[in-house]
Amino acid sequence: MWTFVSPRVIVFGDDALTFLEGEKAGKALIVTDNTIAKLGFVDAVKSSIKAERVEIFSEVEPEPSIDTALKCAKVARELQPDLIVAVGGGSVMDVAKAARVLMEVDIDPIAITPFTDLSEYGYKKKARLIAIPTTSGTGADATWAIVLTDKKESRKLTPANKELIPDVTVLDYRLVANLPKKLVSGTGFDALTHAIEGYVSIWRNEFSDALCEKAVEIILENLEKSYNGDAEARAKMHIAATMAGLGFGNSQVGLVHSLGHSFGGVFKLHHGLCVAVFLPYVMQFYLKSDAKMRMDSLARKVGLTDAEALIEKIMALMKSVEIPTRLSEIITKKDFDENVERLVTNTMNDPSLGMSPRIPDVEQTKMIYEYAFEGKRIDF
Amino acid sequence: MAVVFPSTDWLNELLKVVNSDATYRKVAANWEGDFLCIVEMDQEALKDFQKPKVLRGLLSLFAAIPKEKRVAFKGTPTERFVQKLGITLDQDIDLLKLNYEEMTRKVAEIKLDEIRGASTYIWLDFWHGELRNAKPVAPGEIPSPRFTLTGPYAAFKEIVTGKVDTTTQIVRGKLKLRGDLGYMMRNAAAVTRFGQLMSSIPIET
Repeated sequence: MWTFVSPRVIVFGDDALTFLEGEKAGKALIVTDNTIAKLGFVDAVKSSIKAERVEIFSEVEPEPSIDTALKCAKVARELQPDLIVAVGGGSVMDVAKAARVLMEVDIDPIAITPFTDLSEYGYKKKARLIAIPTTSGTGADATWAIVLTDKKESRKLTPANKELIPDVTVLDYRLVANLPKKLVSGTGFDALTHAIEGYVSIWRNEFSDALCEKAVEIILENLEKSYNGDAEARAKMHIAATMAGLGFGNSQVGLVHSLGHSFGGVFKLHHGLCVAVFLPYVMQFYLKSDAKMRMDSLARKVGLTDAEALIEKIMALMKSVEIPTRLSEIITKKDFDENVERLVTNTMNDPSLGMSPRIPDVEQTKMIYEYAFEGKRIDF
Repeated sequence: MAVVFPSTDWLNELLKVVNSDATYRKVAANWEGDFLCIVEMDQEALKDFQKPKVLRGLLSLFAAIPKEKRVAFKGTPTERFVQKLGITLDQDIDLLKLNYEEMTRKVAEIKLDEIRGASTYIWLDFWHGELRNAKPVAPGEIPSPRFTLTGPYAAFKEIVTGKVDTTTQIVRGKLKLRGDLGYMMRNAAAVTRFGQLMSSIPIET
């Protein structure tokens, strides 16, 4: 038995926020961050919802900590909302997804796993969750995983459970029209990584394949245009990010994310950047596995000859949207040498690794880091 | 060396591969936690146990449990199963003297409904990079393992033969995992490496 999980409704368009006008609630909690709050999006959401009381939690930081999720859950527990609206990027949506569960059940967030039966903890899903992404990359509006940072261990943890998925996702293109270029490229590459990892994952299936393939096609056609300010391409990227989320959310990510989570956890860097920089190296590593056939097939679907050509195309795209192509462009050799053992350990302990089509051992993982640092082609 | 699953030979082989693996020792250096695997009899098991060598493997586990502990099986479907083979809980079992040909014929006559719930309990005790113990146990003998993995024989067979990994079996709903799941998620490397080692043991079918 296998399942395909998705939000109940996906609303999209340049007026998608009007969907909220039909939403009625007794008490609503809007989860966001300070930057988004200042942009006026939250006000628009607040004025659209018909609720007797609306509270705003705007303390979500980039790459949010477990403590922030618990703090948001405390606010939710006191308010007891029947509607939670997440307005923001992946960090905001992840905190909102966690808070919805944690406001009802007393559980260590990391114990929310794909194997956890939340109903045994008394979870009744008292609040609906609407996700309104303001970036085009995380796919968090359409997945049942969340990423939280354990500050004590400088490590990213990935609670996941099908009960975490939002009920509704609202893709309003206006919210990403003025996205900074750096976020367009970083989040865009996050989406591309989701789609490619979801396509080669050992849990892939026909449903996830269809969504990942289409997402790759849209992203390769539109990311650079979106980066250069093309509004139509920007809208397409917004859809592609959620499409990739639906795809990988039902087949899972793999080694790229394990490396990216580890790297981002140690060096406190944007998630999109962290996965993007490893993507071509991992694809090269996969060339010596059954995943090569999958990548060949994906390459042909987007009009390229084979996996090698796809990797080259991705490398070229990284350069054109100013994504670093080697770790040495991001961190110093000293930082690298001082932290590489920890990076390897955290990578090996990242649960996403298990869904990779080729799992490196400890030595190979270290070599991938070293090659990626130097920008050297993976040849093992 | 190819071995039968489940059997004491398989458990011994498991001890050997895990405890001689430098990678496991490294990635599981901080791991503290035991697993109780409850392998439930299913149609696939009744088919496989019609092969003398596979049945012998199963009975080697039963025989390895001290007689006084086997009492815990009293009144359970497991007792019904062994009784149908002509074995009682309190008898001394000499694996060399059992008539496997005759017993496999008896297995062929068993209907699953008659023994549904019959189970084999395997305890795996992991501690700081080592598999300290791997042995069959009686129900209740390990009262509070850190993890309990329960499911039909066919699902475990797919894991040990390397067709599917444990996580996938759980997500597919074939196996049920209970215990300190958060701890497991934080220490995924140990779990993954153990799975690789377990499925590396050649299984004789």
